Amino acid sequence: MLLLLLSLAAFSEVAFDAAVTDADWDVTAERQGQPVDAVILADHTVFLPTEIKRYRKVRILNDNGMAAAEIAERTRKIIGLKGRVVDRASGRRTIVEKERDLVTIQAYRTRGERTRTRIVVPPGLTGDCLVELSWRIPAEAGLPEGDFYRYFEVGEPWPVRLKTFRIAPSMRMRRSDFLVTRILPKKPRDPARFSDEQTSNGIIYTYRNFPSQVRHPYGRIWYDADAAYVLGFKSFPWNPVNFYDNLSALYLKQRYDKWPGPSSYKKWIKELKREQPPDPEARMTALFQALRTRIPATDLLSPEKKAAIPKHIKPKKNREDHLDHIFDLGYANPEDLGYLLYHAAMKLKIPFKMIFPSSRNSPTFHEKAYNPWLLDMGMPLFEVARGDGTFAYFAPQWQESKPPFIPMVYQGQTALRLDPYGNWRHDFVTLPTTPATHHQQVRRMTTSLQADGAMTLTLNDTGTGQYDMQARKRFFPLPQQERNDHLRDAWAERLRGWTVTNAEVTGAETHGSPIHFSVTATSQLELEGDWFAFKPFPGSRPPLSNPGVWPPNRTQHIVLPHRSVQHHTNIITVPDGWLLKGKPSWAQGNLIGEVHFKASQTGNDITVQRVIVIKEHRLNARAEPLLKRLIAWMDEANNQRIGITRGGAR
Amino acid sequence: MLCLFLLLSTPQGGMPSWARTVIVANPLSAAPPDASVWHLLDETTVTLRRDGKRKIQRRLIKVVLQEAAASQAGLFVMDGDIHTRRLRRLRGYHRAPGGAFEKLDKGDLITVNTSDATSMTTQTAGVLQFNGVGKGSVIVFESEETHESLFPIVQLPLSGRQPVARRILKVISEQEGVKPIITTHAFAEWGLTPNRSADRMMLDNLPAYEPEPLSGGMDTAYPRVIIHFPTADAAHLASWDAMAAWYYRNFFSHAGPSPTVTPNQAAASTNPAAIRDEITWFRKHITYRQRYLSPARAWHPEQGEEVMRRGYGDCKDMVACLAHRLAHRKAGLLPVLANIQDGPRTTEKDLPGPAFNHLIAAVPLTAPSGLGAEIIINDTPHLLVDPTARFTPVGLLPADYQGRQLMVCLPDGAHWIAVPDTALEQESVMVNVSGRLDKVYDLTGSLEVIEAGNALGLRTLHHTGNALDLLWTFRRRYGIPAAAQITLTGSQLTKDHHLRLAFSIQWPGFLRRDIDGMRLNESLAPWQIGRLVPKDRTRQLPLAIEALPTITWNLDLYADAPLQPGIAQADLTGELRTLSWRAHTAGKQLRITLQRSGKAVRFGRSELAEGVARFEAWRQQYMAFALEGTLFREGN
Repeated sequence: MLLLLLSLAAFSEVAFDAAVTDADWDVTAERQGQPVDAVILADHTVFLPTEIKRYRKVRILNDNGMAAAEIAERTRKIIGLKGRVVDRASGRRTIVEKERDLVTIQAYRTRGERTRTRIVVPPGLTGDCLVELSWRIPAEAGLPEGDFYRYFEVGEPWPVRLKTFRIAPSMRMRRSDFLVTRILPKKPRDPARFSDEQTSNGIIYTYRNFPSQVRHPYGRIWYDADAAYVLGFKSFPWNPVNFYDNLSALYLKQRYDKWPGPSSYKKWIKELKREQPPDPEARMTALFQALRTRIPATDLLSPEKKAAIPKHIKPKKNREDHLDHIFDLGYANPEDLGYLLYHAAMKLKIPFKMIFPSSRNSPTFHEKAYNPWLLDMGMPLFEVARGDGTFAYFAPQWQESKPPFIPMVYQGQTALRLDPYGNWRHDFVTLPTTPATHHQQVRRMTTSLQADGAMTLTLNDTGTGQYDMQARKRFFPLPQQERNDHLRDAWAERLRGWTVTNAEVTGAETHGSPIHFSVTATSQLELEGDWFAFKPFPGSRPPLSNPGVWPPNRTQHIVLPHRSVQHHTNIITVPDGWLLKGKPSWAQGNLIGEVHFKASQTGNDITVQRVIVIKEHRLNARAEPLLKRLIAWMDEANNQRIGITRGGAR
Repeated sequence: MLCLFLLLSTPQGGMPSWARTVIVANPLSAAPPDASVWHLLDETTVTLRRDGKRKIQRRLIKVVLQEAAASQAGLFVMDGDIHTRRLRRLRGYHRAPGGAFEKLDKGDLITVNTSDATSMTTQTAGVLQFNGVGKGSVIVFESEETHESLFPIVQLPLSGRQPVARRILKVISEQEGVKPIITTHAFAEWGLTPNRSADRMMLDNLPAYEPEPLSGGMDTAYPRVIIHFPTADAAHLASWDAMAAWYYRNFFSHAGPSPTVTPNQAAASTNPAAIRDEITWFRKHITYRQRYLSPARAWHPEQGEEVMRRGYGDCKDMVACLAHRLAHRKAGLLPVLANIQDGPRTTEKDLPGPAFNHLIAAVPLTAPSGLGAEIIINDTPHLLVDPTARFTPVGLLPADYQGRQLMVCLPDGAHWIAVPDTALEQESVMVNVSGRLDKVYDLTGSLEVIEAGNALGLRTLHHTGNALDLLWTFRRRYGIPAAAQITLTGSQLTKDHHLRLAFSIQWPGFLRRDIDGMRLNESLAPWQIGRLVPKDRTRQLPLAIEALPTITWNLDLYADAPLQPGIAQADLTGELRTLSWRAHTAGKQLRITLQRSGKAVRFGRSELAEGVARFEAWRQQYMAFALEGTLFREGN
């Protein structure tokens, strides 16, 4: 406590001519036998009504650690910069001079906007020194000017000895905002320490001994139980007891006010009413498809329609006029597609609930933090109950999807559910996750091998789930000839040493059928010895890539793109008497996935099969060795060649 | 009125008249096959104004032939610097296939600064972008900008990834008596015969240039045009002597007055021990970082004393700092202009110009030192010192100076030197692996890396980074698979400047299933080498094969069962690369030595066939060896 008071006292009046204490030079506690480039000895942030005060004291331990002492304030001013650098060996003291060491560059310029970035590289840095800096940036009610919400990470690439955030009592009193600023801490786990104190100078959140934080492959910092941050956001000034009631009744409901629609819309609804299947899921599916046909998403427009988009769409006064306008235009952005599906479903009296999900690309949503901005409010999903107690989900913004469908970023996430038929009552749900069999990639190949080494290969690809969606997103907006050209180019790149003679995309012109790729290629094996080798699945890519760097001591959860099954078969027809060499079949697997490689010969046909299954996609950090092992097996299977002996010789 | 209406209702209505003429004259049927975007006209006019600034006007007409290229085709990119580039005029016109017409101007330009982690700069990149571009779109850009710089030289590329129907270049001098000198680069190699007059050059039907591997940088590979304006204030470009003398003066006038030595006394000499002391000081106090807040800073160093205060700088700042510190020892230095990495291979046969990307120092010595980087200038021994290579032993230059020419800047002229191989630090890597292979060929044991020079970049990291950086750099360089657990157990710099790293390893799948046996991991020996060009294509770009420092892997393994190599001994000696392989088994003991090395070789466009043939010969030789050689089968 005394230490804390001392450091805060030091902050209010930074003594840049004081001697550096032994405690600042001694970083044995932070090193703990680990490689460390720098240590953040102290980092203080004070939230005031019109500015944020900053102070930072950094111990640099090698050249790479110098980055810890640099400041880059994008788009904001740096006021009152002061600082010093003290070299340990020589005791040399270099003063940071605002005029000389603060560099301003024009970062970005457009018609209406000119932003500058301020960079400070403290002078006199060495591989063994101490840096102290203090500065201020302009703010509005605690948050940097213009920010709606911002998170301040506690973790840095270097260990943090002390980091504090003080919310001055005056911060919120600047003016009677409709939205009030809330600043909430996320507590760390051992060995870090956290305290939360109410003082006459305001609330102080203190973090101590926070270990260095690194990015892990297949990780999301939000899923790291050890991660800590202070989240600042402007929220509704409502009582926690009825916060979400208010959010739904006062905020969300009014976004979905009645929309009568233009006459073209009324006519469209009338037509839809004529052919209503009895089952709610079937009705919603029919509506999803009808909307997709009537109002395509901007990014899935045909080239002709895309070319006809007028440059400037005049902003309309209100949402009703805007929806009228886009309905007549005939295409819409993702947010508007949500509104359109909502209104049409209400008109058709399809029973559904609205889902406002949190995303795995944002900080974790906590019901009790009362931060509604972590819900993707512009991207609602639509939930329809089935008779068996399960639900079907619809995402009108993802027109390339085949409903029922939940975008991967929302699967397994917490979501706010509202009942528009039940007075907009709310509850919280966890969205389900799709199984591996939902995302299948199936490749069937045949290869004919002639006695002179000439090879012809045909390849047929289809996919479900994410695979079909990705293909549709890429191929749907192209004209047919270009789809084929595009596929041919892609495979010419992937099939090195082969000549692609034909490439055809089918099923991409409509949403109804799965997309199908077929490719034909020829090559010439170089036959010299009595046997030769080739990759049975040339140009194939395993479902997970192999990251080069895996930092040690992982605590972050593992988040893989999605569960999946990749199924490859190649039937290779060889001349009489030619034989598969050895017994190359094998299979391996663990909790996360499986790899199967199987090759056998019947008569003139050698059949090679490869199956890669990803069974799980969200895992505890402790599963990292299993993931690495699985990736190694995938890699092994992907590189494995088969050998063929000519004319019966062994 | 009626005329106007008719004009506007044509597909080219709204386009500037110069563009309309060109569009009408180029029917789509004449478009090159396979092109995704066709540039109908690419015209650049370079004018030397009376005030010495250069005016550059550009006219560009694009026709989009494929939908997939649409988003790229809608862009017009302009680089510049906020201090020396003034954009006077910018217009964009887009006629969409459906007939919609759109115009953009200067205000629509989005400008972004290009600073990054090692440089602070005022350099920007600007983009003008049309949306809604599709197949059949016609896009026209016209721009006018003025530039000023220390060098009245303009370099222009001829074309890029898209075919050009007509490329026009006009050069105008508004200054009396100044006649522009237009030189071309790589025209003959590409078989380009422009229609030329004194101030104009025109080329028709330029092909698209596809990127190809091992082409050694855009600058040298593609044809370009260089325009010199021999103005009165460009006297420093009259000859290399003039340029060197100018840079000598320029360097010392910015580096700052030295306390005890005036620039003309720069010949005051010192000894290698003193230089070594200075470089040792640099190791601790000066790091490399660029701070280019005006374009002239690319040529003017910061004051030596200020560099000492800041503790960082770029190459010329570091030389200025060295000059400042040597002055305290009553010694001097000469600035030496150089090229490293992707810099051009400038020689004294080239026209004088700013064709350098690096600055080092030549420090006069009181007596010959016998060191590799010693050179003689005017009968006096000098030592070449690169202060940015702080960890290279004093007396040698880093290996990437191989085959380069340097220009020493004397008070009265240039002194050119070809860097001799004896001046270079030798680089090599040796990896010793010993351990036990279990039943499924997982390896447990130890691994030692001995790096000579900075071959893998490990030595620099040893000084500037931490143990994890060393580990990850080694892993990345050899593509060590993620599943392998490697722990650094020790690092040590030996007296002969070699870095020795010790690791313990647990490497699942050290041998991997392949064909009917187990294959040595790809980290040690690639299974395959890709072709230089696809079978059905002819190589277009020059071939630049980099040197491969000698890499030796020594394996001493004890396996669960006896393993037999496909080939016990092989020595491949190609003209580009060599490989030596020894695999010896005694019971369950397996000893392997694999050594590879290669020279740097360049083949220009005229020698391409030979270069490609040599590469292919090596590839075939290697593949034939690797298929059998590195495959192991169980058995005695």
